[in-house]
Amino acid sequence: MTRTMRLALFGVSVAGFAALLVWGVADLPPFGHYPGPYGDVIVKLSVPQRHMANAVTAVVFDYRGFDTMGEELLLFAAAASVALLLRERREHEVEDIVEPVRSDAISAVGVLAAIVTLVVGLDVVAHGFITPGGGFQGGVILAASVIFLFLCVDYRRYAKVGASTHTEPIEAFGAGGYVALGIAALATGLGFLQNFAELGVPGRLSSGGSAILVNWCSALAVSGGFLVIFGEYLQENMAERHGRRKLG
Amino acid sequence: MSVLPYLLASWLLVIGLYGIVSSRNLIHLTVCVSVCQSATYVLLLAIGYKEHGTAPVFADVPTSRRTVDPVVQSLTLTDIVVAVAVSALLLSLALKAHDHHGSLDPAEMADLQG
Amino acid sequence: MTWLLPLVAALPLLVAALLALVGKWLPHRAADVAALTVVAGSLVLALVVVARTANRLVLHWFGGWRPRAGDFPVGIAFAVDRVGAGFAALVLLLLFAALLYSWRYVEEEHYLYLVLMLAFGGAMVGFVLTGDLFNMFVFFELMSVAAFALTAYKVEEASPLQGAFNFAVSNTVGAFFVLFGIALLYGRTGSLNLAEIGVRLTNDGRHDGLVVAAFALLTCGFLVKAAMVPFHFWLADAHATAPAPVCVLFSGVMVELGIYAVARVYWTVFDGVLGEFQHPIRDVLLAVGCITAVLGAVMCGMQRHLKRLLAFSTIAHAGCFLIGIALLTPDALAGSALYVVAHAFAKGSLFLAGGILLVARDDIDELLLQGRGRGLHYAGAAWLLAALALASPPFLGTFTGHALLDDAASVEGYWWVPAVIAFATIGSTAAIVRSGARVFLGWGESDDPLLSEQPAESAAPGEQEASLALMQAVTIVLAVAGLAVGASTRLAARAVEAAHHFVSRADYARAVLDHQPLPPAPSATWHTTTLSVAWALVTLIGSFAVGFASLYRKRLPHAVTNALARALAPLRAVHSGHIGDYVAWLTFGTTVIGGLFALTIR
Repeated sequence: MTRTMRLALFGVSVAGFAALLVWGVADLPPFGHYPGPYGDVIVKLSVPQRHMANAVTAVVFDYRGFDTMGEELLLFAAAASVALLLRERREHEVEDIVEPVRSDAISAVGVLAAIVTLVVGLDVVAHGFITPGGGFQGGVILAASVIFLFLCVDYRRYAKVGASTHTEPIEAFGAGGYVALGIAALATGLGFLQNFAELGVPGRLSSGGSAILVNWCSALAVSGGFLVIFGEYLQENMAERHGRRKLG
Repeated sequence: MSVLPYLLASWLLVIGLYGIVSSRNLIHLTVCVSVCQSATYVLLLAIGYKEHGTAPVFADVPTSRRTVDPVVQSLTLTDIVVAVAVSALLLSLALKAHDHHGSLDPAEMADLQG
Repeated sequence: MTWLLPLVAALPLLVAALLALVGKWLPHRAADVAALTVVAGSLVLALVVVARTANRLVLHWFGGWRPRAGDFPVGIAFAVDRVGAGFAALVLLLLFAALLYSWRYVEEEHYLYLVLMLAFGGAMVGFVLTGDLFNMFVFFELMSVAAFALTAYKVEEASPLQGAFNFAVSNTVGAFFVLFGIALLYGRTGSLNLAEIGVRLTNDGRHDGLVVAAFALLTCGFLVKAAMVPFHFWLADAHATAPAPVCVLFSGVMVELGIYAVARVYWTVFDGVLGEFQHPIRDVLLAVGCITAVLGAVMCGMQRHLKRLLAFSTIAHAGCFLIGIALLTPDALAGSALYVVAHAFAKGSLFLAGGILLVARDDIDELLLQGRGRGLHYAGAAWLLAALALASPPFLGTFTGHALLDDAASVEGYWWVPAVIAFATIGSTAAIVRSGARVFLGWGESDDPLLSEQPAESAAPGEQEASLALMQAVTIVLAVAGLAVGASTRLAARAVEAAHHFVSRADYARAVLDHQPLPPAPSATWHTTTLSVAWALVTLIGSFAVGFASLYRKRLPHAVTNALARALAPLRAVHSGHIGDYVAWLTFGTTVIGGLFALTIR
């Protein structure tokens, strides 16, 4: 089909498609007046039943923890896919590339930033059940802290820390750990992924029960997954920039 | 006005689809896929909003306080991870396609036909 | 009992993560054994669940969030009836066969291949077992991402990238439609549990724009996965380039999961509120199914790339599966289910035979392979047996599925549906017979004016040292299994009983939410009618006759072939390989289907 025909076909359909969408959303409850019971039930239960002050994290890791498991595995599969697709480029082809950042000031600030970001990331993960945060958000911040090394210091240092021999096990451990925790709960006679530990006091770091473990597994899986994906892209990029030829 | 955020979500979906259909660059196409994904975030979060509601975090707020829906926020988190996974995959495919064809134009990639 | 359910899905996923952790250092064969063992274990568990779901819904509430009777369900549930359990078992069985076949066939980054296959299989099992709508979406995405990557496995060639990219974008857009529909339903009912949404929609009673739009978006989104026209373009591209064992899963269960999802969502969520509109819904879905069946058969006959030929055959058969669902009766649904099982084995066997040809003869083009398949006796025999199974001969292969479908259609007054199904069967199976005769027997002319040109494909570098004996063994076993499905009338009777449970929304809801047991299904015995045997003979003789005749299409007078080529050219041109075209058609299809629903459901 030529471009004109394609756009014509789309143009003809999109009016009807948009009409279908508008017709559908017009009957939604008015913005700001959502009556749905699911949220209300969770909000009522999350503190008394689960001792979790952050209802969103309670939903993510406890009430709908199985969805989150599927999603960790999704990120894990994506990282494995990127590794599979970009496999022609091997890490050892580029591990000698340095590509330093030329300003000492930036390097110094960068290392500092990396450390601060690491601490912030760990803090966000740990306080997931008390304040906005949790495994996902914290995991992304943790990944960012490693990427600072590439941005502000040099590629070789980043490659040493973010090597796939580090990141892939972390990610696999996070994803697998999540599933294993679920099966462990099953083995003790509870439901899959059921919270089996002492729930603690709401608002304290110790609240959350065994969902704390699940939280940390997800932080590992997310940070590992991001670093695997980023690492693969960066390898390709470095190889291009430094004229490394592909083997075979 | 009470239907405006939902219309925004529909608009984002439609414009993202237009981007995909008219795209001449695989990277641009991947970003258009993300735009479509954003449409679903907007829709979900807009559905869960409650007027004068605060965040559903009770560390410093009594549990009787009106909050927005936490479930849609959790759904959106999942949705974001899905977007990351799909984008990562599409970008690596685009990378390899560029390796093979030297171009990022979908029209150049159409080897399998009929 | 309920503790078994999560393991069926979780065990393959756990081993996938473990293999990612240690796979780089494990010897190849150890990783293979680990994967095969866990799949076999899950399969055994799945079969136990099949046995226990005769008249019962097996439930598992994750996180221990089992609601007290009448309470709002806050957790996610696996809610498994016999159809779901059977599907899960089919997935695991095909996965086992595919992994066994890949023992040496797929060598590069072998552990990553296993990781993705296990993730793919585990996700499909989870998708089929779950009773939560958003959980369905999550597993849908997980199986999709794994599938995209597996399609592009042979990154050294250019066409797998096109196949994977088109597959990825099309299915992702379909997933957006599904998510939009889920959001709309959540806005109305405030729940994500299938049973609960169904109850709330039925009690609410409104069938306004929101409900119809949600139904249209959910259905179209899942029909993208099911490769219905005009959402089907990605399938041919993806199948042509993915490794053969992966294609087994694509054609055998992945496409069928889309159809399953349409049925499951309709029967648990929408049947109550849209139940009075069964006629228009039936007609629209029937139209989609019939158009797909016919188009698939026609395109199938024009292919010379064997895997692309098989892909269009899958599209044709998938159209027939949808016809069964579209009729909205339990008998038709049972027919589709049996048809799916027989088709999965037969089609799987054909793909594996194609893989053998690729490895042993380094080509997959029918004309270039003419006569070169002569030494591969088992592959040739499997090709014949599988073609026989698909041709629906009396009492073998897809016969029981076809018979149930034809009978159900006639009962509902759609007397022309058996003819459409027969056309689709003959058209697609004839192409398979033709290519088999040409490749394995060397018959026919060396050229055919109606076949589309395709880029060359050769075996990937790691594929040379394959263990041909094991590959051939798996291929033959699958072909025989495909034939055997049609022979069992007991299976047919059980399928009809299971279907009765599938279609009763109120019973499902009571079982999931109020812990009520399912009422026993009317016990069915199933008899073959003379009409169904007659149709079976028509498809059997037709497939082989047309198949052998089309070997000699070159001998047709030029005027005829030119006219045919000109008539078919627009159809061929539409399958352009360009993702922009595919998404434009996707939008068009959704608009038409949604528009038809909007006009008829008021």
